[in-house]
Formats: sequence, C-alpha cells, structure tokens
Amino acid sequence: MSAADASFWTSPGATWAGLAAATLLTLCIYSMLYRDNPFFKTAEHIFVGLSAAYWFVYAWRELIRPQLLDALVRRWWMPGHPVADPAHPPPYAAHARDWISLDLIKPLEPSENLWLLIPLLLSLFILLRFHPWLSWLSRWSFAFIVGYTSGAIIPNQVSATLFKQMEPMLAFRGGTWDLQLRNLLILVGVVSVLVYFFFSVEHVGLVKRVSKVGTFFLMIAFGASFGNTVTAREALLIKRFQILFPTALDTPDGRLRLILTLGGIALLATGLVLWRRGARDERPA
Amino acid sequence: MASAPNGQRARWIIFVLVAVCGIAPLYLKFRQPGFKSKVVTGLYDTIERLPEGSPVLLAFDFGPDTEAEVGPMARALLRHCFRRNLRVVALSYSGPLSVTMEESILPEIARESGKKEGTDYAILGFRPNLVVGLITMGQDFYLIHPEDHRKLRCQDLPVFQGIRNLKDFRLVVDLTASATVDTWIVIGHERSGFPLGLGCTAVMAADYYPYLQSGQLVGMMGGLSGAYQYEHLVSREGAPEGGAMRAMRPQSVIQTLIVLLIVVGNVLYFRNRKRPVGGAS
Repeated sequence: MSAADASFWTSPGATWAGLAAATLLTLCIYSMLYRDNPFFKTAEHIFVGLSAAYWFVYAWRELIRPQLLDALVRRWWMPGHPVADPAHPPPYAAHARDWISLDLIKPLEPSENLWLLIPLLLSLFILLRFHPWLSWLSRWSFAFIVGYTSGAIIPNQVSATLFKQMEPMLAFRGGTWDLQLRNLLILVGVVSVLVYFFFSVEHVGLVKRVSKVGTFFLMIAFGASFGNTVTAREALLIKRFQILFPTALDTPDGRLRLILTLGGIALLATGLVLWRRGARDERPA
Repeated sequence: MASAPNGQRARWIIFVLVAVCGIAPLYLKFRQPGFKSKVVTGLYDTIERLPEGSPVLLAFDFGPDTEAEVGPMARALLRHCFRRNLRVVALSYSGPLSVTMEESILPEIARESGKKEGTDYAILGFRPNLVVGLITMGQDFYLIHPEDHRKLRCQDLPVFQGIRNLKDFRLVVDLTASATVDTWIVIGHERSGFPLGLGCTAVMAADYYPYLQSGQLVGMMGGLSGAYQYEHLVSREGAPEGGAMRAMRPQSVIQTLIVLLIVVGNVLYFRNRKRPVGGAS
C-alpha cells in the first residue's frame, strides 16, 4: 500500500464515512423487525455481495495466485510482485494493480512445481460438474477429497471422541464424590436417551420408564442449548447498541456518533413511511 | 399501532423493553460481581504456568459476525499472553473474513502492550482446509506457512525461533465460532499432543464440556460470560473495563427481563388453560 493509499483509508473523512455506512446499514437490518422492506433487502444484498467479493479477492490474491499460479510459473510475469514493507501491513487495495494485470496471458514456463498441475486439474474437474457431458469427472475430485479426509480423520476420531471420552467415564475408582456423581449422571443420561431413540422394541414397561427418563435429559439439553443461543444473540445485539449509542458523550466524537445514529433513525423512519405510503397508493382500489 | 392485533402489540412491547434494557445500562454504571469458574481458570492457570518466551498459537477462527462474543476473549487472552511475555503466533483456517480479526485485534493489543511484530508476535493469515493444515503443520510448520501476512519469511523472524512443528507450541487456543475446534481436537491434539484451550460462542459451549473432563481441553471460555470471567482474571486495579465487562451489564438486565417474561408467559398460559374452551372471559 502506498503512503497516499494508507493516508486516505485512515483519514477522518474515510473513518466517518465508514461509521455512517455501518450505522445506516445496522439500522436497515433491524428495520426487519417492522416488516420486510426495501431498506432491509438493500442492506442484506450489500452484505452478501461484499462477503462473496471479499472471499473471491482474498482467495485469488492470497491462495490461488501465489500458491498455485505463481508457484507454477515462477512469478516471472509480475515484476511488481508484493514486496514486504513492515511499516505498512498489506490491505487489499494495495496489490490491485497486480492481480488485474493482463500480462498473465503469456506462455507458461515449466518449473519444478509441475506437480501442482494435479490439484489444478482436480479443482477444474469440480467446476465441470455444471457441464452435461463432463460432469462425471467431478467424481474423481470428490473421491480424492472424501478418501483423503476419511483416511486422515477416522482413526483419530475413534481415539479422540470414543476412547478418550470413555476413559474418565469408566474411572469409577478414585476422584471426588461430585465427580463420581457427575459420571453416574452422564451414564444414566446416555443410556436413557439411547433407549428413547431405540425403536426396535415396543416402548412399554421398563423400556417406557427408562425412555421417559431420557426425555427429561433431552429437555434439559435442549433448554441449555436454547438458553445459550439466546445469550449469544443478546451479545450480538448489545455490540450493535454499543456502536449505535456511544457512552462518551462528553467528547465531540461521541456526540457526533450519537447524532449519526439519531439522524439515521429519522432517515430510515421517513423512508419507511414513504415506502408504506407508496405501497398503499399502488394497491388496486 | 392502534389497529394492531394483540400478538403484534405484545411483540412491539417486548422489542421496546429489550431495547430499553439493552441501551439504558450502557449509561447507568452499576457494579457487577466478579465470578470465576474452573473451566475458565483452567485456561488462565495454564498460561500462568508457561515460562517467559514460550510460543503460543492462537487460531482466529471467527469473523466480524461473531466478534461481539469472541473478540473480547481474544483481547483478554492476548493481554494475558503479552503480560507474561509469551510469543504469539496467529493464524486462521475458518475463512478469509477471520483475517480481518487477526489484523485488527492483534496489532491493537500489541501496541497497547508495547510488543513488536516479528519479535513478539506474528500474523499468518488464512489457509484453507484445516485437516491438511494440521497434518502438515504437525510435520513441518513452514511447509504450509512459509511467509507471514507481510510476505516475510517466517523462519527469519525471531518470534519463530525454536519452532519446527506444532509440537513446539506450549499452548494452542482455538478462538472459534464454528466447528473448527473438533478438527483441532481430533487431528491437532491427537497427533501432536499440545495443550489445547478453547474460546467459543455461547451456542457452542455446551457441546465441549465433555472434552474438559477428559483433559483434551485445558480450559474454555464460552460466550460473553466466559470472556467476562477471563477479563476479571487478567484485569488490574484502575485498568479500563474490557469489552465483555461493558457488555455484561446490559446482558444481565436483558436476561432478567427474559426470565420475567417467561414467568409471566407461563402464568398467563396456565391461567388461560384453566378457563373452559369458548367460555366467557
């Protein structure tokens, strides 16, 4: 990133423009509480578009180009390849000139990294999934991914999630009484829930009673999970409140941010009223 | 709103109450009790026991969407690591958006603690495929991370001194909002045997308690409550409040409101159930 680029992105004007955009988009998203409306839709589409674009640019700039294309052709086409500058960490606008360079259209030079053609081919095969005649080639890529991942994970999975989890459960000797009690509770919980989901026998008599115990464990688990989910959503809401309603109102910065929020609310409310009025007018009599 | 049906009106009353309970405590400062659980102190104590200069690996597997929960944990953890003069290496395997977290939070806390990039900490950015990453890092760390995010050769940086593979890290902490920790446990911890800590969202927390008792995790921060506890453990007299401490005040008030609403809802439900169907109110 050049000094001019850096000074632009850290300038007060750019910071305030970013804050204004964040405030307005946050309010637009929360306008969904009223009802589905064009302001919410706009913010939603911006979010999805930005995320997808960010993913694409990052994948190209940090992964596909340096690790695959550069490695294949020894970076010879790009004299201005990123040079590290410790004083200026690399933001994404910095190398825009490089990756949109059309100099890429030159014959490839073989290098010692030719084996990289294999992952390149497998990646291209996945894209062929959309081709009516060649889609079968994508199965090779998926077979490779599934085979490799299964081979790498399954042995460790059995050890880490089965044997290592059973060890403390079966340690009946030693340990404090509360630990023993917890182990017993886990054992009862696991067995009763398994019985609840065991449909090969009719749920009558003892099986019915045990499965009933299982439902209590399930309800507690669902309750804990739901409570945690609510807590997580609250945390996200509070963070937005912290951004929208600054507490340092004795500083010009804080006051300006609050004005930005109140202005945004007023603007959005006006927009929603106008939109409702327009929608009502368009409705056939 | 005058013509709104009862359900719609009740919805709006709840929205307004939640907003008031979330915004008012930002301006009304009241003291909150500090509490700590074994789960959080496990991670804190592990860091306390590490000798100065030990390398610690932090996986930033969260993005801006979960920064509200996991961000305060990352800040508290980094403050602790830097105060103990540990070397911090940050990487991510959950997506490019998590790089923005590495590149914003780490330099912020490093500046505050007077630490230098390259000497005291390093940012490695994002790599895809955690399974491949962990297997490769377990053999040779630099095979998959030859350069840091500034394109400097990692092996030339003092922060990487003595690190050849994952086994050389004295602690690994996965700060995550997704299931990456499963892979860290199954592949990373299982193959390389490093002590593993976890910082995760509240939604995930309940799923990872079994790994604490088995010793596969040394400690865990779950959601804002976990971050709040950790901030209490690392906070010093007169230091400004951390993000989780500030957020915990409104959260306590909102949760009290939710409990009250649940109680009121249940009372109304059981009262209405006793009435005969179609009976006069």
